[in-house]
Amino acid sequence: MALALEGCLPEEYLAFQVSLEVRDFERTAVGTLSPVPLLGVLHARARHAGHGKFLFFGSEDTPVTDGSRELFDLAQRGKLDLFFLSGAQVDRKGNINLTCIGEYAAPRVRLPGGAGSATLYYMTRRVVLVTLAHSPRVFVEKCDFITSAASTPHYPWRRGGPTKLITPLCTMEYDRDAAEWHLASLHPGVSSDEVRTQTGFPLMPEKVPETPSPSPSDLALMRAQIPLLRRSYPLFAGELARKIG
Amino acid sequence: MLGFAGTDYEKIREDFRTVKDPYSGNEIFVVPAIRPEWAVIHAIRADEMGNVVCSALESDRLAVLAAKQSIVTVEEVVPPEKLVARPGEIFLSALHIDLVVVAPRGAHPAGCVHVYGIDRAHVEEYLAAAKTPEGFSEYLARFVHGKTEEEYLGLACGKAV
Repeated sequence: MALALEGCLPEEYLAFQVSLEVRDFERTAVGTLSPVPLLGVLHARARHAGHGKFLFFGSEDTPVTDGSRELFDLAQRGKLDLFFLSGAQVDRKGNINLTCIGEYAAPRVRLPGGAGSATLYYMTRRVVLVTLAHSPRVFVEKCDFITSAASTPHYPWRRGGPTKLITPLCTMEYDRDAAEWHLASLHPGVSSDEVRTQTGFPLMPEKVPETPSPSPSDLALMRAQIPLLRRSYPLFAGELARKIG
Repeated sequence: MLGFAGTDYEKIREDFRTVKDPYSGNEIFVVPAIRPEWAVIHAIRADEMGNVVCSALESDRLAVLAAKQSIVTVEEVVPPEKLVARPGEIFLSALHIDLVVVAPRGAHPAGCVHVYGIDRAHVEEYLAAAKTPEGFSEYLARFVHGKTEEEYLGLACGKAV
């Protein structure tokens, strides 16, 4: 069985999972090319995180005076609590590949690159990964290129790293001691077998609960954020509004 | 730059080195500073002294501060009392700038904060053309080669001027 949602689009469902990771009174940043995380964070700010401080890149409202340098400085100083990343590949150990598919010297696909994700993965207290695809091509045993490392036990000090992975089929939690993902929940209609077939590394445990679904009032509140989302992602927001009807 | 620890940048970037931090004693990554010969940015406005106000959301100002020489194009020249930076904008002193050029709509087809947005239709047209060497050449012949600034603006964004 595939993902079965009632009255809710897959993008909204994933954005709702993102919103559950946002905590009140914290500092949360969203980078560019992240429409689903931004929708989730906008929803969280309206729902339960109204005292938080937020930094959204790709918007004219970004409260900085010195570009992305301010985001990196914030993270280096330990004041960035939550950030979102994704990857063309994410491996068993939580490493991310944003650089190339295949050998670095002769890549089959050259990707845009890490753009500071290595530092943000290391320095942000919690990083939530959001992928819009779930297949063995994305979830691999080992990344072709490690752009951002999830765990660095041979280095003396590290502030943060991945905590959660949200995919179109399930959520996973990062076990820092074992330095690998554990299956945390399955989305409605998704079987344990399907997730295992679509994941290129072993996933435990066998039995996990169903991922929480947004309530009707959550959905209404999230949809009320679409005008704000549109300021950063006009095409994505327009398409979302069209699908909602 | 601690973040490079454990990544494959360790393998491919010989210029990323580790040194012992003289303060903490920890091994840390260091990278060479980027020192551009030139930075060329587009800013929002200038005064007659060559001070400018540019976008605060990008790394434009940082690029000028890093470069050996810099050129800043601006939308307009304003009286000194109108130069003041608003939210989303930042002051950049003439001290750091070698040449200011007045170039209205100089960021086109990209946007200029508070003045005009990205010309999406034009960017899409460019992206489609640039997929092949022939398309790229045609694009240049149509919009760039042999064209004056006025001709470019008329052709590329006449509808918006």
